[in-house]
Order: sequence, then C-alpha cells, then structure tokens
Amino acid sequence: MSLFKIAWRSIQQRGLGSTLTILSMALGVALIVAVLVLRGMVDESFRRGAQGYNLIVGKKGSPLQLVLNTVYHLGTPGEPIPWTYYEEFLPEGQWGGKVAAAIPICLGDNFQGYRVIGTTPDLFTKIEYAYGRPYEFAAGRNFGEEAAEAAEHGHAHDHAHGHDHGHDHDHVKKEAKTRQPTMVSPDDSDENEEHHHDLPPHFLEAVIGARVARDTGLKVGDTFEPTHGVSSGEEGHKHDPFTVVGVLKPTGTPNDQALFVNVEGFLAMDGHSKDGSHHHGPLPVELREVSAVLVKVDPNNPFAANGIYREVNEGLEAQAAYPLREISILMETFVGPIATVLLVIAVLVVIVASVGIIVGIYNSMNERRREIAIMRSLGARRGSVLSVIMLESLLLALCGGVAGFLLGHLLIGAASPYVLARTGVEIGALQFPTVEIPFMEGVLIVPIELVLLPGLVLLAGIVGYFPARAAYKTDVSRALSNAN
Amino acid sequence: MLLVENVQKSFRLPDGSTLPILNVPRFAVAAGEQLALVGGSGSGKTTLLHIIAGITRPDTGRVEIDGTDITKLNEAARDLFRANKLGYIFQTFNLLAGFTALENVLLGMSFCGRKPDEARARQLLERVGLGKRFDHKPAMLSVGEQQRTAVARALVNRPKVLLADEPTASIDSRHQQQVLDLIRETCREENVALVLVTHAPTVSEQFPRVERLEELNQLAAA
Ligand SMILES: Nc1ncnc2c1ncn2[C@@H]1O[C@H](COP(=O)(O)OP(=O)(O)OP(=O)(O)O)[C@@H](O)[C@H]1O
Ligand SMILES: [Mg+2]
Repeated sequence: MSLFKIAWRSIQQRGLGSTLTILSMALGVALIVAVLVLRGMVDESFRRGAQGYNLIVGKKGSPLQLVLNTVYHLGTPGEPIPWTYYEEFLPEGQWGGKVAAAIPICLGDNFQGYRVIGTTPDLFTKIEYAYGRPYEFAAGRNFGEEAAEAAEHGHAHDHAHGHDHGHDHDHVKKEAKTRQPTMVSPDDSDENEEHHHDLPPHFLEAVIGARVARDTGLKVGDTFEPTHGVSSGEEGHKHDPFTVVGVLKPTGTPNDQALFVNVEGFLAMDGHSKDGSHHHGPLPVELREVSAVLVKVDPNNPFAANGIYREVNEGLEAQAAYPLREISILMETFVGPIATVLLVIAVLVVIVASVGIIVGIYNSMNERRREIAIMRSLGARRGSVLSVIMLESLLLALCGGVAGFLLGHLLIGAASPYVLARTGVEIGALQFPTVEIPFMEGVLIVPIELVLLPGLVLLAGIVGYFPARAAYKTDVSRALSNAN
Repeated sequence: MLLVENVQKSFRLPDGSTLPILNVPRFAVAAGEQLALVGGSGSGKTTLLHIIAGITRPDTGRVEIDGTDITKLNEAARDLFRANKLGYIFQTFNLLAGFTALENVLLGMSFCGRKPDEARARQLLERVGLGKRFDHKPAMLSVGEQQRTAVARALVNRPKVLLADEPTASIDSRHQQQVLDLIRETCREENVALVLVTHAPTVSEQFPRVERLEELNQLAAA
C-alpha cells in the first residue's frame, strides 16, 4: 500500500473533521477566485467604456471629471466648449489629418433618467466599444448618415434639398414604413415654416442602448421626447419627438444606458443654442456648443495623440484627457485597494483553514501515535510516517483548493446572468482570473490557478510539517506500551 | 535463529536516576522453535521483545537474528530488517481502524521494500478463517478476529521470528485456544520461530519450552 493511499485512508477515517477542514479551505479558495473574477470584471467594465478612442476633449478642468462625465455619465455635465473645437478635428480642421474619427458628445438632456446624447452616426461605425468589438444593432439601424455631412457643411443646408435627401434616404431603409406615422411629411413641414417641423426627418432619429430598451420598453418605431436636464418643468416650446430607429446590442459599457440622438436634432432643441435663442432648422455654427469630443487618431500614427493632447491643453478653453489613463488612476486609487482588502481577507480565510489542518491533525495525535507505532512495528521508517502526515495535509489542502475552484466557478456561473444583465459584462463559469506577478522588470500575467495551487502546496507543507515532526519523533516503544 | 547476548537495558527516570530492567547474558531460539516467555508484571518481557524487534536499543550486548546483529544496524536498516524478518502481535489494537482487514494485512507488506503480494495476503486471511471478511473494518470484527488478522499480517512477509505479546489475553476463553492454536499452527507451517509472552499457565503449559524472564535476567549481577 502506498504512502499516498495510507494518507488518504487516514483522511477518510476522520471523515467529518476532514470534510470540515476541506470545506473551510474550499470557502477561502472560492472567495479568492470570486474576488479576482469580480475585480477583473469591474476593471474590464470600467476600461471598456474608455476604449475605442484615444482622447476626450472638453472644457478645461479636472480630466478625471471630464472622463467620468463623458464616458460613465457620472455627475452633471460640465460647461460645453464651442463647436469649432469639434470642427478642428474634421478633415479640413487643424488636427483633421491626424484623426480617424471625431465624435461630438452633447449632453444635458435625459429621458426617464437615462442620458440623451447628441452625437453623430460615426460613434457606432468608426469607434469600437471595446478592442475588436464594434457596436452591433439588436434591431433597426444607425441614425441618419447625413448628420455628419450636415455638421461638416455647417448650417448651410438647403431645406428643400435636405428634405429630398432625407426622403430618398428613408426609402432605401427597411424601417421607412414603420416610421412614417410618427414622422411629419416633408410637404407638411414646408408649409408650416412657423412650426419647427423644419428639420429633415433623419435629424430626429435616435439609437438607444440595450438597457434603455429593456427598461423603458422603447423599440424601433417608437418616439420619445427628451427632457432638459436641469429644468424639466419649463416646456415653453414643444420640440418634435425623436424616433427610435435602432436598438444596440448590450456592450457592457455605460452606453447601454443612454439614448443617442442625431446631434443636429439635439442642437435644434430649445435651450441648446449658445445664446438661448431658438431657431428653426439646423443651428448656426456660431451658436453651437459641444460637451466633449471623442477623438480617435489615425491608427497608422498613434503618436499623433500626444501632439493633439499637448496642443489642446496649451489652449485656455479646452483640455484633452486620455480616458484610459484617467480610468487606470481611478482603478488604482479606489477599486484596487478595495479588491486588495477583499483578497487579503480571502487569503486569511485560506490561512485559517490551513491552521485548521494543523489543529485537526494535532487533535487526533493521540490515536495517531498508536497507528504510527503500529506502522513502525511493521517496518515503516520515521521518514515514512512523516511523509504520510505531510501527504495528508497536502491532500486536505488540495481537495479544499479544487473544491474551492469548482465552488468559485460555480458561483460565477450562477451569477453570470445577473452580472450580464446589470453590467453587460459577460462572465462564465469558465472565466479564469489572472494575476500579475512582477518578473524581471516586467509582469507575468498568469492564471490564478498557477499561483494558488503552488501556494496551497507550500502552505500545506508548512502547516503539515509541525504534526509531521511530532509523528517523526514518536517514541514507538512508549506508544506501544501505553495502549497495551 | 535468534540470539540475545549480554543485553543490558536500564531506563533513565525523570528524577535522573537509572532503573536497570534487563541484564540477559544469553537467550537463544532455534529456527521454527516455539517457546512461552513468562514472568511477573513489570519484569521486562515487553522490553525484551522491543529490543529483539529493534524498536528499543539495548545499552550493551548483541541481538543476532538470522545471522545479522541488529544492534549494529542504523535505524533505517533496522526498520527494513524488522519489516522483512520479524512479525509482531500485540495484546490489543493491532489494526489500523481506517483500513479493511485485507488492507491491514497489505500494510504489513508496505515497508519491506518489495512489491506487495496481494494473493499471499488473501491466502493468509483465508488461512486464519477470515476469507469472507476481506473488506471488513476492524470495528466490524470481534477481538478474536482482529487478533487473527494480526496473525495473518505478522506472517505475510515470511518472517523468521514471530514475537507475540500476550496475544490471547483480551480474547474470551472460548476463542483463546482457537487463536493460540492458529498462531502455533501457522508458525509451524511457515517454519517461523515463536516467542509468545503470556501470564496464563493454561497457555504456557502447552509449549514444549517455557522461559521465566526472572531466570533469564541476571539483574543482581549487573
Ligand atoms: N520508557 C520507559 N521509561 C521508564 N521505564 C520504563 C519504560 N518502559 C518500561 N519501563 C519500566 O520497565 C519495566 C518493565 O516494563 P515491561 O513493559 O517490559 O514489563 P512487562 O514484563 O512487559 O510487564 P507486563 O507483564 O505488565 O506487560 C517496568 O517497570 C516499566 O515501568
Ligand atoms: Mg508487557
């Protein structure tokens, strides 16, 4: 019979004690796994929103605030900057040549508490919400493509032309019919100049995030009226409702909780012009403002971001911020320490469980002494009985470890539908957390199993050593006499 | 086969004094010989068996078994020697509670440095009348059955000497004789020398040779 089997039999023999020890070890390990997965999830979900572009340009002030506000919809929007900043990123602008995409973000309105963001269709076509993951539509399509064009040409848009354009455009879209009832016909709007039915239909199109669609029940073809962020009560001049033309698939970013409307329509709403006056048709460029601009530099020239960053920040009115850098600082300052504390607690649980192994073995030392003496009388060496106890400790720790991994991943698997619904981040039972280990001036990113298992083995070795030494030193003659 | 010469053993007491227990000038047992070792309680019978088994080291003297002086061996070599050449049966609690009868016998083969021979273990268990009890844990066996399992285990490595320390003292009188007969018969079959410690005259009188420890022991001369 191998020493391994002898150790295993000894564990089986003390079934209840062994089970409790294994259970406490399993809980500790499951906790570690859960904390690590959770940390990775928070990290991932935070970083996601800040991916896909290089810079955020906004009003001068705290860069973190700008990022939190623009990306995570936290806090009230800061002061806007003149529209011209956005135009400098368009092809004819100062930085146009270095930029692959520039997306205006206009804030200030909400619908049932969800942010309404005025932007361009480029947001969903030129930018990915996470590396390698473009936006996808669960239903419908992107809002009117002409918007970008309109912005480029400023307000010099012939109404009739705009309408024709929009009309043609509508006909090629599948949803044209379903939208028809909610849309005002072009002829109608031409006749009623005094009413504000003077925007091309695609100016009043919207795309909504997955969570908004779920919670508000809005779907393609529905209309909604945004409320002005601060003063929702004063509705002097009623605005045309926006029509939902697309619903995004879940992205796991804060954008799941936002409604995106054509920036032209957004700017045409009351209270969105610089001087507070209200206009019919697209807002003249000198009256336009933008809360922030997402800038994605030419991928062939990634260092262009540095130049833009410097040049924008040299100005007096605007700042540029690196979103990922700000988020990393945030994570390191707040989320990191919390995760570390949880991790320390989890590791302590594992250590307590290991102490449980020592206590368990020591408590059974009296009956073990007899067993050790019997084995010695059968010719077992001191080293053999030491090994048996060490193996026992190791087996308890490893069983606990494996059970803990299963438990941890089972918990994650059970929680994943909830997490997906809440955050849009996909985690599965088979999500394996990684840890970063400093190694030769760099870090190695390894699965937690590769650290935890050797760690458990080491721990089991240390805690097993003490009772094993007692076994090693057992006075066989005395142990045999005592029981006889 | 077994030769104990000039073995002395004294124990150091907690108060620092030494307590002489054994001074055996000569004690010899031939191959396959069977003898009963009797003596008063505390006379040193168990201590002598421990010395023969290499569990306790004598202060002086030699213990030769099958041509090897075990007092010259280091501990590990003594352990291996014990596994191969000696069988030992205690009065009670011979078996490990977590192991089945068969596993307890196999345990006897686990430290001898050779591959365990499971067929031999089964055959011996059948010989001691436990052919149907292979998978029974000690708790499910009577004391007599436990002792018979211990007999099978003690003989499983084909030892030269079997040391039995009051092996039947805990068994009810009806089964005592059964176990005693079993020990003596199997030792005869396997040609194993038997040194059996007993307090019971009904046991010792069955042996062709009986040694009184007090007579072997020359404590006064020490
Ligand atoms: N480790 C030890 N330290 C001190 N004294 C010991 C030790 N082991 C045995 N003794 C003493 O040695 C003496 C002989 O003990 P031993 O167990 O050999 O006697 P025994 O003949 O087997 O007695 P019994 O018939 O009661 O089993 C006893 O007085 C005992 O107290
Ligand atoms: Mg005794």
